[in-house]
Amino acid sequence: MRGWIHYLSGAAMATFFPVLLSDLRLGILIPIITGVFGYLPDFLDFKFKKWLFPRHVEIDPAPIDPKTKVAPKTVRIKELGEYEDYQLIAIRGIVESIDEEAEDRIVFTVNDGTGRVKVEAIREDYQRLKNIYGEIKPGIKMFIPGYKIGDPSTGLRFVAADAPHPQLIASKIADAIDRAYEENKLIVTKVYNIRLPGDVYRRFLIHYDSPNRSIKVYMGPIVTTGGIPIRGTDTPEYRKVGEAMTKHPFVKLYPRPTVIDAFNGPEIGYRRTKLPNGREVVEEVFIPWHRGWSHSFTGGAIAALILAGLLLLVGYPHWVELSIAAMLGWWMHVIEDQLGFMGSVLFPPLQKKRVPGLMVGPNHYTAMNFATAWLMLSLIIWNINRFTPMISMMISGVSAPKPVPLDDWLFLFLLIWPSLIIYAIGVWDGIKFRRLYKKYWKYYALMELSEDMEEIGGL
Amino acid sequence: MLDPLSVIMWSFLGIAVGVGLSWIPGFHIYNIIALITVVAPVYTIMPIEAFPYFALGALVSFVYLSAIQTVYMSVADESFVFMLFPTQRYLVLGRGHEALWLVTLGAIGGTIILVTLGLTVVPYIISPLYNLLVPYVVWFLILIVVFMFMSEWQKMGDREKNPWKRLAVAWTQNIGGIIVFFSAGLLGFIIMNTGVVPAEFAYVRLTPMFIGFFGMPWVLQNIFSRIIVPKQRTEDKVEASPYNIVNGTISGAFGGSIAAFFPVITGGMGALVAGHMVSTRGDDTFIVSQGANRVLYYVGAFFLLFIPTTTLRRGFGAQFVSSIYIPKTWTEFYYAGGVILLAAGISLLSVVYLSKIISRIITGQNYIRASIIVAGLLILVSYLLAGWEGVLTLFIATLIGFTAVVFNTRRSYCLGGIIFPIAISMTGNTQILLHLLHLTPGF
Repeated sequence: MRGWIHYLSGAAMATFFPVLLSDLRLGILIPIITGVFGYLPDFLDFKFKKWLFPRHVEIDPAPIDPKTKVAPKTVRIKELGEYEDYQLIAIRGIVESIDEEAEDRIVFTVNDGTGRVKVEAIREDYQRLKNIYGEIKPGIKMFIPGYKIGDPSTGLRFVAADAPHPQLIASKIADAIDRAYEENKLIVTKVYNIRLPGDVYRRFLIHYDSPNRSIKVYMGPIVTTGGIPIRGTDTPEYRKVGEAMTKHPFVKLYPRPTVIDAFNGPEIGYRRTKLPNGREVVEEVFIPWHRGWSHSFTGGAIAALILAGLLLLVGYPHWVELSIAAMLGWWMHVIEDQLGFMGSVLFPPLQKKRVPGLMVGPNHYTAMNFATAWLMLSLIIWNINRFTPMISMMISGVSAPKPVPLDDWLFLFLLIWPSLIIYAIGVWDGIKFRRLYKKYWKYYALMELSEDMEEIGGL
Repeated sequence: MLDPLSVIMWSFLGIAVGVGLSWIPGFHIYNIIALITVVAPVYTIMPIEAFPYFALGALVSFVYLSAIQTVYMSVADESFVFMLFPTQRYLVLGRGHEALWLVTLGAIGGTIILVTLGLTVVPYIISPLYNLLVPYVVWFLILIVVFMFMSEWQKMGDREKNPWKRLAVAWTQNIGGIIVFFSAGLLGFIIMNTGVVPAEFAYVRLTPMFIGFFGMPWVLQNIFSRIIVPKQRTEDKVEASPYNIVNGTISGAFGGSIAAFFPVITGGMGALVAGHMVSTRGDDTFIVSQGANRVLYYVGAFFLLFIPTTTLRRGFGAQFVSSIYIPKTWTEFYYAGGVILLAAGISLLSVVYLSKIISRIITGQNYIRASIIVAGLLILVSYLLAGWEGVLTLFIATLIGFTAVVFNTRRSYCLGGIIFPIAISMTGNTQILLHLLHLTPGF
């Protein structure tokens, strides 16, 4: 669910308590805290924990230029050795000589005053250079994005390209998985995204091919912040896929590839775990700093206790009602998130791992989001309407009529029926999705069979 | 009572003013109407019953035509602001005309929704809804403001190596936002409560402040960015799925309606809330939603003035016009529905052709000279409306508005200039704050 939905749910909880509504009507705004509590679990995770969480491995496919704040970073040739193979960087220099030239390939030497390097461009990349510079010949000044391969001691070359090679990402993720297995601890990998001029991003996908113990990374097109691909920006076939094998088995619970493009790149954790059959594998924990204590019923209860103490301290007369409403707001967040896939650690410290979500409406995210927002708005309107006579009596001693003079339950039904229909569709969609999900897990079962046969020399 | 021909004639005049001036960068139709009224009071040359239609025509055409200044005349580079607006991104990619079509499609959708619901359902539900929710309006307002602060996506800090440095850099932006909100709030509080800025009309005194918060920083950003606009494609087609267009229109209409109904809540704040509710994602959806949002926010709010079953005055336009004439009859109400459709049709044709002309003119330009001229005009407008005090207000407000740009934070925090004093007033604390600040009340 989106942030406002959680916030609105928290706010809606205040309206179940006439004394809080009465305060709000009098301009005493302290019950706003219930809305804050509704959003607080995400606020704590995204505004604090995310930044402070340790990172063990950093994968930066395209370092940012400090001046332009976008990739590629322009580097001096003498410093090329300091960068990792396949990282997207750029050099600027003068062509000294053409070393090899064919129809779809060229190798030439570039000197930028700090050193010289052999640059290789093939097929689409060669064509792109020709489109910009025309004929490549000695003496011309060029700005060449690409990546280096090798190091100065063994011979270094620079490959012209408009994206990093995905092999860098695949190899580092495979290493992180093996490290998590061997060290038996959570290894957190920070994968940076690729920000390019014009505030657009190069998309890439990480696919976990568990049966083959292979990490495949696909370098995709340039996309806008909203994720819309820009036509004609896909990468050439020869540098589209990177693949690395792991020594140890792994699983990914969320059955879709991890897509990285706009905003910030994610943190991905890898942790050794035991499958129900006792077999040990590494599992992926997407954004491991998220949905722990902050997204638990325990956390909500503790936060409400702290709030109750603070409210008592400042002498707020309705501290009991407000603390309960705030706790309900927090719990609503936990429940709403549990409708999705990722789930949360619901009762720490009794539980340590996320409880998988209920997968309601996995293909109707927008509709589910709207249904919840509509439901919460409806509850607010319904509560305000039904409590109006009571609140008027509290404030002025005179009972005012309800603004909408309908039976309470009829009014509630008239308000919430759209949400009920959408939820019903979501539940049906979830049932279909879970069937597919079971099929997916059979895939893992097959993997285990292969492993067993391998152990006895069957394959 | 005006005859239909007079309604059309005076509406045409409003549309002409809107079409002629709304595309100029940094200009807002409210400033233009205020300026025209102060410099040459148009309501003295027309029947006062015609003034609402003149303003309605101008407002509808502004909503459509001002998309030109948003799309073509706002430039930035990503080293200056961390994130470009979707329309700026389209411009940089040579797709400004397409972005304009997306805004316009949203505006058409918004107009259809407004007229359909406005002429049928709204007159009957507006009163009970108003009675139900208005006692809690301060709660809604502060809820949205707090959410704006809590939900701001922290753009910086991700690449710092030390965790505490990451946290500190990320929070710089939020702290900047808080500074902007409260500085703007203090300025708004002083202007609204002390009479330090003299003005012939009470509402006009805020105009230099808003020009400073929003118009001037925009112009300054154009000057500093030094971006050369690439060649623009001007084919009349858009790359967006019908689903995204419908999603954007509903989201925009929803956000605009919230902003039109609740006092002080602006289109941007409404869009934030509605975007989360309808789960708007993607540049195309966002741009479409902006078009629909602006129609519902500006025109929808103004249209409430014509509804005979209520006495709601929402937005500067309605407040200003109602000080001259308030429509009272159902006939005037239905005339207004017709004027909206007429103005929308003319504005649609104008915006498409004007877009093609402007996209050719601006190709290869970097706006510096034009932006300096616009900056001069904005100073002149402030002077004409509120004298040297207005110019001083403009200067201070520009500093605050530009602070938002520097901190990469939400520019909508400048709305603290109006939200803060109104929240203080609605909770009955104006006198206390005036006393604390040693200020003398005056109007």
